[in-house]
Amino acid sequence: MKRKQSIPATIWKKRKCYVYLAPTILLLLVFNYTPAVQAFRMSLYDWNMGLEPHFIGLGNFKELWHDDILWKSLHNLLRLAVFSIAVFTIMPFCAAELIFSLRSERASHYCRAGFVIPMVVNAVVVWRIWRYIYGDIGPITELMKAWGYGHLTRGWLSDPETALWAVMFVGFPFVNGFFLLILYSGLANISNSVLESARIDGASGLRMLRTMHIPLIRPQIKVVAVLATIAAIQGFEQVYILTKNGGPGYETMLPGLYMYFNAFDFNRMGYACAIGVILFAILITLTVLYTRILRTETADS
Amino acid sequence: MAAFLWGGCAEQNSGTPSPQKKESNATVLSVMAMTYTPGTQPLGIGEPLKGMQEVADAWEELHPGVRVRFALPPTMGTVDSEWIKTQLLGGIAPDIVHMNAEVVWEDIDKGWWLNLEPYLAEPNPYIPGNKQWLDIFANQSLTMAKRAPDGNSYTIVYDMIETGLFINKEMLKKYNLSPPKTWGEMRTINQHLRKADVIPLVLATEQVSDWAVDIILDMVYADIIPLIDIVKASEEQEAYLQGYLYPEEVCRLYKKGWFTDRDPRWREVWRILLEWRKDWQHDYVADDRAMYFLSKRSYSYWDSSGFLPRILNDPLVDFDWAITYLPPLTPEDCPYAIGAEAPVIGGAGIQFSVTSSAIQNSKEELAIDFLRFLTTPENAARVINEAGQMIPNIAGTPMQSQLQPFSDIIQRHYCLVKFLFTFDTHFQNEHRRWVHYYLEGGESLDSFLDRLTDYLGRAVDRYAERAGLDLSEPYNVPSPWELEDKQT
Amino acid sequence: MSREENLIVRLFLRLLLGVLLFLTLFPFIFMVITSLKSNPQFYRNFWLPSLPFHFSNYSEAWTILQRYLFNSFWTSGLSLVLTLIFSVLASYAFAREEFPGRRILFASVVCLLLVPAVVTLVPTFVVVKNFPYFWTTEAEGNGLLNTYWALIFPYTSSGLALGIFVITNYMRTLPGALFECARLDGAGDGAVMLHILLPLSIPILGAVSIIHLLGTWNNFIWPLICITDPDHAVVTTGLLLFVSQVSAFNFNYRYGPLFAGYTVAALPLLVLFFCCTRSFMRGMTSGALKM
Repeated sequence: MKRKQSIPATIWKKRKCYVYLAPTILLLLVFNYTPAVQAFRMSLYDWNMGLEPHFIGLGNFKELWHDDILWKSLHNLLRLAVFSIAVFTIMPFCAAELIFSLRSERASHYCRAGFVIPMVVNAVVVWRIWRYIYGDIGPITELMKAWGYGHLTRGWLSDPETALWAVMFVGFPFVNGFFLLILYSGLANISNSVLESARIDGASGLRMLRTMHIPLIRPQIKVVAVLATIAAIQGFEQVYILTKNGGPGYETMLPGLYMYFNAFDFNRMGYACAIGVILFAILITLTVLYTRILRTETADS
Repeated sequence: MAAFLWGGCAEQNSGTPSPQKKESNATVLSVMAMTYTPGTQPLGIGEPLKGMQEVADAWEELHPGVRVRFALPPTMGTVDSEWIKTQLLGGIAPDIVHMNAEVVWEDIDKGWWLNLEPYLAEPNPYIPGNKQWLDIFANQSLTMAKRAPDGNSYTIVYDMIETGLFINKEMLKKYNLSPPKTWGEMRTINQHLRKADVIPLVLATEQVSDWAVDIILDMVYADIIPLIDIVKASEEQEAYLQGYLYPEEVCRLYKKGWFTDRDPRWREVWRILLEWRKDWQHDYVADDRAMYFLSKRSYSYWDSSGFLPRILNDPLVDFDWAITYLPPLTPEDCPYAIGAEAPVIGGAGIQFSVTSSAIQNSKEELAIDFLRFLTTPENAARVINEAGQMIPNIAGTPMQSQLQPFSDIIQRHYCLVKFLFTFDTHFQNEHRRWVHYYLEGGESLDSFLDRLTDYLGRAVDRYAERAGLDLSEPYNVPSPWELEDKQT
Repeated sequence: MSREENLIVRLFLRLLLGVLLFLTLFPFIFMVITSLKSNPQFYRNFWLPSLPFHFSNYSEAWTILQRYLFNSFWTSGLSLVLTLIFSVLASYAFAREEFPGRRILFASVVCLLLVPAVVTLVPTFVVVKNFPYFWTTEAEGNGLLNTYWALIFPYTSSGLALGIFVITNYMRTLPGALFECARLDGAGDGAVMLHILLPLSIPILGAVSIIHLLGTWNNFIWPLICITDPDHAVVTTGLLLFVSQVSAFNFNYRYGPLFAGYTVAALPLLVLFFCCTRSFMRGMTSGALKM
């Protein structure tokens, strides 16, 4: 492999690789790179969709720097992301541990299937359930009235003090079937002999969890954390269908949603693209950070 | 590559017609008919609609080689703007769509909508003796009120919709209450019901900054309407819109200090609204509010005539109900009120426009022809009265008798201004958001008024820039404080 | 720890698992319950099933949705097949071959996972609209819009990034000796892929399929803006027919048929899940998701 060869010659020799890659490269160029590059380019323009775009250099970014709404939405995003990364890692992990502790293989299989099934449910169904839970005749309000706290009831999704929390709690108990399977398969993959020897050494319960399980499925936990991060930063549909506009005020506004409004409601496509570029930068930074941390840790161990 | 693709797109946008290719088989005229889409069941009641399909079939017979195809309506309400914008940008919008006139106005400078004015001035060949198409619209003033700021019509108003307050009469009986005659009485009744664990009123978030504000605003400013409404429109329009503030007027009034934190009436509007908020359902963003009313958890429900078939046919409705309207504000409720009756805030229902997609494919004449066919009294009756939700805006088309209460409401005077729709979607988005924030206790009246004055100012400036208005010109209306001085 | 204590702890853990499972499953249960209700039943009792069951909701949903289901099936299915073929080909090159530009090409594929989808919504729409499409006269000037390809191509390309990332990582974990042996036996790339790689990759392909279909099958916004022609509409947009607009902000829902529609639309995915869960799990353990 190390034989020196001119690059064109190597390319020619390896031409079949490029043939294998051709359909992928073609599709990605047309349907991913062109739009992505276009979005980057348009972030430098003042563009009212349907009219000629005007080049304004870094104007959009300068404006974003002073845009309180963007900062507010980033602040919300931070709260939401920290919360959802935590719960979407911890809860599936708990579920995976509980299933793992089942002795019967059949029971374990049905449990896993049970956690995976709800993934096929359309988000609108989940949304409707939670809208009802937070509503005037929903269980929260009814219970509080029954216990004599009726004066404290409110529109949980519409009150500035509770709206963001209400949005965060949609999806309770946060056991994502996909994440659960990743974590469970990590646990299932720990070799029995390792666990047995630990058990013989007297490790049990929580100590076993701390000293054996968590370190051994660390790679799976990382993957889940990264996927949860991407989902938290890219996703805004949840807010969109729950509070409709990221309100009250901007209490539940997220950068993705703000981008969306700029694109379609404010006729500011260029500005929207600039927000997208910022989101992209945040995601890249986070991913690089994650992989760095992962690498150093593997190096340590 | 990007540049190439971009270039292709820009060309489309500037309205250059794409080269016509021989039609292989039939020309297709696509129509997004919203509520009237054949095969849908309005409100899930009765047989699937077929009126529009029958009309389309009859029209196809007169036009061999042309087919009418109905596009799926993008209901959900929330996705309208991105749907229509991408469709028009892509040149695949249906040739005829229902779209609120205010949405259409936003984009007329992009050449996305066909100016219907020349066609309205010509006779409609399907109606014997018709001099100009415009004449067949029953409510002339409403029809003309939907002219865009540039003075042209881009939509035709096919039918009318009006709001009403649906009330559960049995609850009044049960709690020994009599129907309210004034705003204050209404509030007292509502508070009574609230104590009895009944939700007094359910309404939609979005209609608060739209319907609710417009009604209160009209009643608070009732005494000074002649003073502030000095720009008059054509005679027919004024017959319907006497005392309507056009966007230009609102802008100039704003510069004079009206609708700002220094306008005491404006402050009253928002104070009354916040007080009234106590009567509504807690969940300000509640969805499917009809549920509360139909399952007898709320006393009243504010909706349009579109709701009528539902309440007439829903098996849940085993109670006595009535259609009423909001009572007037009296001087006891507000120092500026004079007891004037609550105004009409509804108006145009289904509004048809011809899109640039039709123009690009040279189908605008066909589209117009179809619309003309659709607006004959017989065909309008087939379409509109089959659904039974709207009052026809076509002369000679009978109205369904069940709509009478709404027809009565529509006889009232029109509201002073449709405030939310005076400005662009940017303003609407901001305004809805902050009204919500304020009504949910997010901030005090003072801080809300400061904020409102600020973003309203920006909306005014945007409008002035787009319409080419010079707002520094003198305007012969006293400012709110000058008026106060004069009166005291 | 005594035996009794141990038993109590274990019972408690089982109970906890049961509660978690019930809450997680609840949306699914709710969907099925509601699909059998009439509107009055739904309004009277939001949570519990009520008699009589309205099975007619299903026939109604099926009548309206069948052609949209077929369209969904066809677009999601074809894009899945294309995604799998293309990603396997590309991954083979990335994982098993050394060639100039390999690293940069791989990185440029993977970084696509990070581009927020909303930003590229309109630019992608523009690309689809201007796509040179020569095989029909109907779509004149509209590129791929209102054709199945408007969905298939973007779905495929959006699936490729994740597919290649996962499958390449997986292939790297396979022992190289396997391939060397086959090669020594004189097998070409095609034979290696078909007889060695494919059987070994079933788990990971199952995983990629599930992820891909979850994304495409329930997609709403993209079909909504790319397809106006009802003949090409997919099931998510077709479901809108059970919602009607009363006035600007008030909507009327027909919960029974709507939820029956959601259930029917979820069935194909459910079947797939039952077929793939095991292989999906194996795929997940295989190291394919290491970053």
